[in-house]
Amino acid sequence: MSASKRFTLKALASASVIGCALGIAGQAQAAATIIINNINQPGVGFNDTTPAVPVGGNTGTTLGQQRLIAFTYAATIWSATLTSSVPIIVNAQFTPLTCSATTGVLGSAGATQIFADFAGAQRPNTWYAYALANKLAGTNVATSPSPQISSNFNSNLGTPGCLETSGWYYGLDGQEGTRIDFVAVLQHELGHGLGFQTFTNGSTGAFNNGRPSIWDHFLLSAAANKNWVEATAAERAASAISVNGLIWTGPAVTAAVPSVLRFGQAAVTISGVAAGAGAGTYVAGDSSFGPAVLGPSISGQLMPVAEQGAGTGSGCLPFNAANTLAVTGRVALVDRGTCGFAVKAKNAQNAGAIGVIIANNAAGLLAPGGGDPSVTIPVLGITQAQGNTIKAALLTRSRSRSGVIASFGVFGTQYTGADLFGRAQMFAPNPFQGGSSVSHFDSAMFRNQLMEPAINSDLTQSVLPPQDLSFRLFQDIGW
Amino acid sequence: MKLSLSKIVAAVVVTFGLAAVAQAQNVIVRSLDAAESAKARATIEASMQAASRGQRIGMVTGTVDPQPQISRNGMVSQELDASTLMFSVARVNTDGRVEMVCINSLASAQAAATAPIFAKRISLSSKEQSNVSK
Repeated sequence: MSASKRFTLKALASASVIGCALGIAGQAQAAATIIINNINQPGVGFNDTTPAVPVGGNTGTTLGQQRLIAFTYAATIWSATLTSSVPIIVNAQFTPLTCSATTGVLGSAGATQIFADFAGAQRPNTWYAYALANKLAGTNVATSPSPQISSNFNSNLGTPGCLETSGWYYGLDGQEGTRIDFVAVLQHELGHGLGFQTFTNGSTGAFNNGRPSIWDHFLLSAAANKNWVEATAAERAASAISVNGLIWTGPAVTAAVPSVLRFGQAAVTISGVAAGAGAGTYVAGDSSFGPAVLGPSISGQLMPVAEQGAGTGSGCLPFNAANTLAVTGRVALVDRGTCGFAVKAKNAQNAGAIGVIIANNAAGLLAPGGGDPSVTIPVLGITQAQGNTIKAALLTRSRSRSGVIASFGVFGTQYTGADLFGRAQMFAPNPFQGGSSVSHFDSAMFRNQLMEPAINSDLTQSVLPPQDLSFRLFQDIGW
Repeated sequence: MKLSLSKIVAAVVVTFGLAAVAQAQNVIVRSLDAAESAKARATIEASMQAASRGQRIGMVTGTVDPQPQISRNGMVSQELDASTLMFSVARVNTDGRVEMVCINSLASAQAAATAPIFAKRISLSSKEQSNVSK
C-alpha cells in the first residue's frame, strides 16, 4: 500500500503521545473520548513484555506496547471523527483464538448492549447500539453501565501453527506487506461496535425481540420498495439475498456517493483501422494492483503476448525479444493461466508495456487479484469471449503493429456499488452469508470501503469522503 | 461495571493537525484492577463458549439468555451475547496473499477458518474474482 494513500504520521514524541496530520476538513468539531480498558492479565496480551523492534511509526519496544499503541491509533481515528459527550469505553484484550497454519480468527468486536426508547432517541421503538444511544442521550443510558464495546484479538497470530508467516503488523503506516494490518482490522471491527450493524436477523428477516434497529429505517428492499421497518420479514429476508437490491437510503451516504464511488465501471474500448468486429467498449474487471482506472486512462496499440514455450503460460516468463518488441510502448494482451496476474503484469511492464489486458481462460468476467506494489501500469480483466473477439482482430498484425487501439476508461451511468439513483448498495449475496450479509457495504464498491465485508489492502485509514462512506452512514443513524 | 480511573496506566493524548484548527482528541488507556479484569475476561469467555454451543450468555453480566428489560421511564435495554459480535477471519492463499473477511458470530467465524476456501464475498461481477490471483 502506498504511503501516500495513508495519513501521514506527523510526530511520535513518545509511546503515548502521537501527532498526526489528517486531512479531515469538515470534521474539525468532532470530539469523542475513547477509553480503552486493558483487561489482559500481567505478562500477556497488551502486557506482553516480549521485546519488539519499533515498526512503521509504532515506537513500542515490547509486544504489549506495540499492541496498545496500534490499538490507540485506530481508536484515535474514530475519536477524531465521532462526536459524543459521553466517553466510549472499549474492553480490549488479546487472547489465543482459533487458528491454524493458514487460517485463523483475527479478532472480534461488538456492542455489549442495545437500547430503545431512551431520552434522545431519534426514532421510537428502535434499537440503537450502546455507544450511539449514549451519544444521543448525552449521558450513559444504562441503569447498569458497562463498557459499550467488547473486543478481543488473537494473541497467537504469527506464532508457530498460527498464520506464522503472516502475523500481525503493528505499524501505523499501512505498510503491512504480506502481514495483517492490525490497525485496519481494528478500525473495521470497532466500526461494528459503534453501530455499523443491524440487530435484525438478515436470514429470517425477524426483528430483534420485535423491534427494528436504527439501520432498518434506512435499509430499502428495492423489490418491495419498502424500508425494512415497513417491510415484512419475508421481504426483508428476500432483499438480504437480492444481490443488488438492498439499498441504503440515508441522505448523508447518498450525498457522498458521487465523491467517493467511481461513476461507471472500468472498461476497455477497442478501436483502430484493424479492429473490425472487435471494435467496441467492453466492461472490464478492476485489478487489485497497479493504478486504478478512474477515468480516461492509457491508450495505445494492442499487441498479444505469445507463450515462450509450450505450457509456459502467456506472460509468465520475462519477455523475450519478440514479445518485448511487440509490447514496448503498447498495451499487452495476455491470457489467464499458469502464473499469477501480477507476474504477467510485471513482466509486461518490464518489457515496456503501458497497460495490460488479461483475458479470462474460463467463463465469466475477470477482476485480476493478487498484488505487487511495483506494478505501476493499469491492468484490467476481460472475459474469454471478449478476448477471443479481440484476438481475431489481431491476426493481421505485424511484429510491432496491430492497427488495433485499446483505451482504458470507465463506462456506464451508475456509480460502482450504487443503484441507478446513486444510493449505496449493501452486501446482499445469494446465498445469505451469515454475518457478512447486510451489515456491510456491498463488495462491488469502487473505491474499496472500510466497511465492506472483505478488508482490502488498498484502504486508506480514512473514514470520510472522498475516501470512505463509513462516517456518513454513522451520521445517517444519528452519530 | 465499576471502572476505576485510579488504575490508569497510560493516557494517550492524540493531537491532530487540522487545516485551520488545532484540536486535541483523547484516547485514554487504563487497566482495570485484577478482580474487575478477571471478571470481565471470564464473562466474555463464558459468552463466547456459550455462543459456540448455540447458547446465549450476556457479555456484561453473564445472564443466561438475556431478554429486553423495560425501565420505569419506558426505556428498553438488552444485554447482548457473543453471537452478535463481528469477527475478522484471515486465510493465506496458495500465492501467499492474505485474504480477510468479516463475519458475524463465532460459529460462522470458526467455520470459515476451517473451510477450504472462503465463501465468495462478491455480489456483483465487477469484482467477481478479486480474491483470485492467478
